[in-house]
Amino acid sequence: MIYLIDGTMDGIFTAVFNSYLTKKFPSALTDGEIQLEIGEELVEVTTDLDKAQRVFNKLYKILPKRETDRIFTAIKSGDFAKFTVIFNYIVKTIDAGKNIYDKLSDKDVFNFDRLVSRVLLEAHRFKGFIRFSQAENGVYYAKYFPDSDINTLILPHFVNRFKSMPFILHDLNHDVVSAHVDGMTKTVREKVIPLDIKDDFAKLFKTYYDSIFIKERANERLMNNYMPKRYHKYLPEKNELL
Amino acid sequence: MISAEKLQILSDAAKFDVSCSSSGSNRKNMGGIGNACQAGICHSFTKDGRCISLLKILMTNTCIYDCAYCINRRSNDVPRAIATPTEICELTMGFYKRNYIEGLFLSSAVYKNPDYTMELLLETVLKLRKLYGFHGYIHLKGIPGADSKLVMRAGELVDRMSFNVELPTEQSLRLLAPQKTKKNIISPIGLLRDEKKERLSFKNKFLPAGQTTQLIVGASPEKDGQILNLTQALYGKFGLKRVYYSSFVPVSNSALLPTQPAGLLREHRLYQADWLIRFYGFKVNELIGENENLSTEYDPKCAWALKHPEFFPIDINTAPLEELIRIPGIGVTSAYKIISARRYGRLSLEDILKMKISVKRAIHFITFSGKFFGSMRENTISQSLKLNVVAETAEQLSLFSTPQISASVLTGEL
Ligand code: SF4
Repeated sequence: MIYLIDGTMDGIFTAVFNSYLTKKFPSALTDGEIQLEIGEELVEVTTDLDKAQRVFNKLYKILPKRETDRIFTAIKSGDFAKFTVIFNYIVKTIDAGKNIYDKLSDKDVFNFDRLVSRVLLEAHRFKGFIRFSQAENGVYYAKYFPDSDINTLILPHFVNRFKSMPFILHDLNHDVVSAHVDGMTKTVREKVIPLDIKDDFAKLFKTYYDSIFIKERANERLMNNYMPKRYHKYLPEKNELL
Repeated sequence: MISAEKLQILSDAAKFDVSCSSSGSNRKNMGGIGNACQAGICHSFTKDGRCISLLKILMTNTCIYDCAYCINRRSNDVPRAIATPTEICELTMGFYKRNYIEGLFLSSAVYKNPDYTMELLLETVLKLRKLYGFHGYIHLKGIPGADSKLVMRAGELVDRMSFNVELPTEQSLRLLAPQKTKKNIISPIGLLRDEKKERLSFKNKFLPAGQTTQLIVGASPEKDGQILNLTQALYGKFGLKRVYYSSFVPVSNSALLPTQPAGLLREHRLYQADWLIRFYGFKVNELIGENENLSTEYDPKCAWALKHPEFFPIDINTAPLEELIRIPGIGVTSAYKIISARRYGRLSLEDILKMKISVKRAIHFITFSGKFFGSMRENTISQSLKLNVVAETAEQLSLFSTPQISASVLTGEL
């Protein structure tokens, strides 16, 4: 049996509730984005906020806030298996009746831990790989294409760092735009046409990037391990600049 | 704005300085631009796989000294340039606001005289902090022989300072860097250490990310044992945060220098040993004798394990942390995972594999509640400990990171 959910956290919580009610547990959950195997029974779960709240309250009693936060981090993952991984972790935790976050010899705990780590790793990487260009009106604009929905995770970092600087973070993959002006931030989720801004500093940075390369030690494979190729598109140092 | 040519000359001349860390400081943004991140952040990676965290640049590459191993030495015929403090400040701010960098690593050749050079450096960081309101990370190189008042003043403004020890012994220094003296390098390190200690009791920020230094390996005849004993003293007595090793690359045909580069493997082994000293509780004399070099075949932990069969096997279910981390192939992160997971019940070999902890090497050194799955044959064991060197250099990830960072598989950010 596979649960078809609406892709939200409340959808997963409702699915958990229904499972305990019917004593039937699905082999997987999907939001309909992926192709299903033929022959598997598909059960649609209608998100019910009351049910969701009851499951969340239960978790909140068992887990410290740090752990419930991790669940909301996990749902930001770009991995299509995330619904199943989160569902299984919640069920394991409720069954255990206690916080088992570091019982990594358990498959469900391990998978959940890895899911969260990957989101956090990507967020951390983009604290470095975000590139702003300065527009003529003085606003700094950055576009990027992350696997996970991390715009609001990394926003506080940039707000702290660039307190006196107006800037925009534009996630082209999940269509999220966050803006920061005068200490205020606003995030919208909608498709916005990305900007193309020419910035002379980009050329200087490319000059810098090329000149500190030690040719005798070339090791592009290592570079790509740390800075995967899929991230190169919006890095000025990895592109020809006009 | 600084010209591309000047930037090219002054950054090219700085590229062999290996330290690049932006970690260890948590300077706050006081309303201007910038802060520092305790764990450090990598903003890009060069085509040689090194992390770019800081804008690493020389104030000038024009030098009155003639250190044999250095491309900037007076007698070398290379293009020279000098930047103004304003040019450096504007470049730093421009890069920082675009999120290309974590901060500035400013160094310099000795221009006119040590005091004059130190004054230029000081003027630059002063401007950056006070005029440009920059609160990001600054690592400043100290100029040996400069007035200690200038050095102390700089310490109040920057996150980290480094005086490079350069060569492991005074004899080598006298031979290869005749205008530098051990005293000129070591005494400011001691002064900064004392000042930091004193300020600490006043909760006053002084060099929040401490001091580091760099040693050139393979330009002089010292053995690894001698180098590591020096390292241990620098960490212990002088409280340095990091010692960096730069393997010698021939940049001149001076008769005083070897004609061959020291090679990356030697540098790599030194970093591994250094790592064991700082985070694994090893003492240098456990790893190596004063007149020995580290094994090229085995990494230092494996080499130690092979020499100490009496220490093994170690039981995964009962051994304390400090014993777990002595097992070949088990790092600090894995050891912590084991300790957490075994609170829920005895771990079997299968459990460890489920946790994606590799036991290829460890298997011969561990038991699971008394059960042993490894080999007793010495040959099999030593074969399994030999990693191919290429794979290992890729593993350099551990070199520039702290255990916390490598825990999240983030590397190169120190
Ligand atoms: S003083 Fe520094 S820059 Fe000048 S030659 Fe010696 S090592 Fe090179």
